[in-house]
Amino acid sequence: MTKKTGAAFPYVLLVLVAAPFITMYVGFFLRAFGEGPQLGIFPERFGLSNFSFLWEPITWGLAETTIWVALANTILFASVSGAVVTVVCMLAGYAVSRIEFKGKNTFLVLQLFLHAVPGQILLIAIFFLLYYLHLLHKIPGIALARASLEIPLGVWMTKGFFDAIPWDVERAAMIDGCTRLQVWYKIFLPLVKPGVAAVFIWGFLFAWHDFIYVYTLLPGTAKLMSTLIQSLLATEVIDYGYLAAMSLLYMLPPLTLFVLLQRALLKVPIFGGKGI
Amino acid sequence: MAVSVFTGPSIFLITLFYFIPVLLTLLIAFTDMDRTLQWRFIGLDNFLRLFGVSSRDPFVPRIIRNTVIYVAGTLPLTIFGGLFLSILSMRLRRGMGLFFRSIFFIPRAIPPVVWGFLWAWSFEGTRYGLFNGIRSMLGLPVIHWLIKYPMVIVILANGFLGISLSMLVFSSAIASIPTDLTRAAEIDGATRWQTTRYIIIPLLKWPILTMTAWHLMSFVNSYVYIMLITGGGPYYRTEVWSLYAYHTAFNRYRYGYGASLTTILIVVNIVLLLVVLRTFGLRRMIGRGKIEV
Amino acid sequence: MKGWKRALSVLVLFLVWGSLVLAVENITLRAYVIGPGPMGIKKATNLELAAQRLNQMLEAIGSEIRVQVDVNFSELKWSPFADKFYLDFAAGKAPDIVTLRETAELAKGGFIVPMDEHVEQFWAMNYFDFYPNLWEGATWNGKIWGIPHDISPTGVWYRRDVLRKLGYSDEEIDRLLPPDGDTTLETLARLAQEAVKAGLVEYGILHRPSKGPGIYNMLLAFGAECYDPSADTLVFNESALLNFYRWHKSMVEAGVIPPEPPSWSTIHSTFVAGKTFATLASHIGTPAEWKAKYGLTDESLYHDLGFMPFPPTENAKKRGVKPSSVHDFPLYFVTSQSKHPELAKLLIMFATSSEACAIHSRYTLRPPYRRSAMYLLSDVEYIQKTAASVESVRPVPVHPKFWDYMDRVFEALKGVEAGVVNPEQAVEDLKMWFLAEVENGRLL
Repeated sequence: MTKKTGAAFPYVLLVLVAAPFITMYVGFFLRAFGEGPQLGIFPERFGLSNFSFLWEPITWGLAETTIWVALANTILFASVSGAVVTVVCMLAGYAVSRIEFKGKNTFLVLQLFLHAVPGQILLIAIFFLLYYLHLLHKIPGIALARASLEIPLGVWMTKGFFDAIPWDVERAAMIDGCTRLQVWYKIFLPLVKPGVAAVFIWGFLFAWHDFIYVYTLLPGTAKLMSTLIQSLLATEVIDYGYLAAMSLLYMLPPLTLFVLLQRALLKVPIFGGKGI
Repeated sequence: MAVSVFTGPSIFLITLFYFIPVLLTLLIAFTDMDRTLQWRFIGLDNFLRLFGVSSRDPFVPRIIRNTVIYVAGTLPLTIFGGLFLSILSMRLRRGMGLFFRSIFFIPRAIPPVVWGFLWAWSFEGTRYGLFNGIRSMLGLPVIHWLIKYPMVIVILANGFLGISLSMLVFSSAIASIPTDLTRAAEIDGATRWQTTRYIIIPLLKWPILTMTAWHLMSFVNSYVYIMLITGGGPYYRTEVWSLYAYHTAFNRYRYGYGASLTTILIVVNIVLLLVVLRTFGLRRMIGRGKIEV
Repeated sequence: MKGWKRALSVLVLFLVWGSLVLAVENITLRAYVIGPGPMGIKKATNLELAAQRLNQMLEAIGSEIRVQVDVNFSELKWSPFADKFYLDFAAGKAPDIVTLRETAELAKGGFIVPMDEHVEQFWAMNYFDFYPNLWEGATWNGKIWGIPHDISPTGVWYRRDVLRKLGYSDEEIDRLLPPDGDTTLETLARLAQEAVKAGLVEYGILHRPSKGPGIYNMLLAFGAECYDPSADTLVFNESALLNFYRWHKSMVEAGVIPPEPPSWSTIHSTFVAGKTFATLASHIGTPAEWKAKYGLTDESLYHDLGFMPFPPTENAKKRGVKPSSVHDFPLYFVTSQSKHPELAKLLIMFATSSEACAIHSRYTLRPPYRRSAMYLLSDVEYIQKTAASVESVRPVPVHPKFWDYMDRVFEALKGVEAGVVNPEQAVEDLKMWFLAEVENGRLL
């Protein structure tokens, strides 16, 4: 008896803690696929009418937008951000892994420090900076600012990838008379291909999820998925089911990527990012 | 020369988007910049007001208190909650453990807007909110969660976000503990609790320390989820320092005063970093990486 | 007639002069126009109409100039829209014409050019029959800065059908809540409480979920004047504010006002469905929106709904406070970066013609802002019935800090209603802010 209760004990505790969350997730899911008024968890009937944004324009004040515009903007934003993070970090990661230079330790510690300080507190200044650089309200400009947030951790990540490659490879290439840059491009990048993919996906996902940068620096003019959902929520005339359905679509790509690449991604503390 | 090709781009972007903004913040903090974007330097006025020397900002004491309560609530929740969930779930069969860990990992895998929306909707004060809907189905009156318990809701929403990471880190650390160690203890007649207390937790010292330091920094600066769930309200109940700075600048267009609030936050961050540095030691930080998993 | 002729000759002179000096054929004027919301679209299309009319005139006098307008009708809310304007201005890319409501802030900062000469010149031609109180809302520091083009007097909408169910006859209802607002806030509250107690409605009284003219109107009902036009200063009436907060607190405790202000969709849908007794959130033109989006029928509008200006409290009424209705004026402004300010002013003149005014009113069911438009609206029963409301409308104060002030007042109101701050503390906090940020503010 006591033994049995002992074994059940962790289950009971975990179920108790998890129950409200499971309720929230299930309620959210059912809301997206429900029709008619919903009280509590269960909708009156099931249907796809909440997904009408897939085949109908989203009316927004007088202007109409479509989900495809928002998706395209989000993809542009996330891709630029991911690409910048990848290129910049792959370069820097190689240097700190392979080249001895003055101030290397300082450089590395600096990255750690910067990673610990969420860049979102600097938004006021970044707003003015982008404004004076004529990059405010422009997706690539904001993507650049957003990408910079991920550089500190990215450098450490890529350092790890390069550290794992044996020195012999490089020596052989050096003897062949390649320059550093050639070695990096021709020998190393192909060797860390999975790493390149991981860094890109990681940079892409963070930008895909981003809310506060886009919300503050790109108001209204070009809607991304996050700000579209937020501003529909703020109009206070949109049904929750519609928003839940749109949120599901928004979450689909990252969740798919995550499930597909779970093993590779969990090796790096990728989700330990900013934004809390 | 050759090195700068590699490190140049990162140094450039970091300078552009970390260091220049810090300097720019300092500069703006001494102006009364508003939405008309005109530079007028007003000396220390913003800081004098902030510290209550000249005119007083009646909200500053409350916001300091909120920030302390918020961090004091979220940080233990993240660390102890993460420990609790990882230790419990690691005891289960593999599949079940993974199931529960996935449930608690979801907050981190979904976008902030959706997480915020989920909480705002679940705790809405009318019967259209999830939990109030369930209550009215059961014939109970609605509870205005977001005005009765705003700080609790905000702490839970952020704390469980912290837990999603700390649980993951602690779980991997527990998984890497050789089973011989725990089994030997159990053969010696140690109870589950004793094994946990005297073997597992001491071995988790380093992850616990790093997670504490990491989340301390994170929570001191965090505001996005609070903004999405309560907007800092009702009446400054959940307005923390960083959110107050954001609101002052972007909702009230007092960029100058907002920048002076941010300046204080930057100073707090530097102090915290120094404390963390002293605790951990520079060598150890570089040598072991940030998170020991 | 004489004035009209003078105006015409000025116009022709200007245009002829323009065609000689400018020697360009096509001039494009850019305009940023905000609804806000879809109901405001005619404010944008009227500028396009104005360009047509102006070009017809130019053609008639043989001028080579043609005006084109590039109107950007914004989907944004007020503040991001204003942000965009300020940013573009700072970048030297401001449009020629903009609609905003921060008249004093814009004038003080040199963002817009004064229009009083223009209004004077073309008074007899266009501006003679604008309701005179509208100019008050367009004037700051002794000058007219913009042209009114929209008016929506605030007031109280209530459900007559609910009162009938409570056993009141139509005569009694008209006596208790007369269309001219000659009653008291307490009477409205008492009836709302009866309706709630009888279980007829879910909400007794609802107000806006955000700051807006309605909150200023409510302050006026408590006799809390917020602005002294003679000195151009904001006024802090401590005792009236305290009464204002205490009343709201007691209404929440009585179950008449909910502790959290519901969203717009809840306000509109519950009111149209008869689940809210009275709303302070709307104005005389709101039925257009209720019809379009919430299924309000004409029958229900004329039979079940009642409208009146905000009645004063008993206390205020004794002190002589009258029922009031306010409006915040978005105006057409000409920016100081416009290369063709005189042409832009003319365009605005044509965009506020009787024709344009009637188009806007017909679409929004808001009363016209000039008398002559009434002739073009003789078939719109609702407007014929309600147009008189314009005469007594008070403009929202034109002061750079006014909306900031209202924002703070409203924020504190939400705190008081939620029960997280008491009225005394709320007023104390407000006072601190007032002392710190309002220059030359006056404490009562």
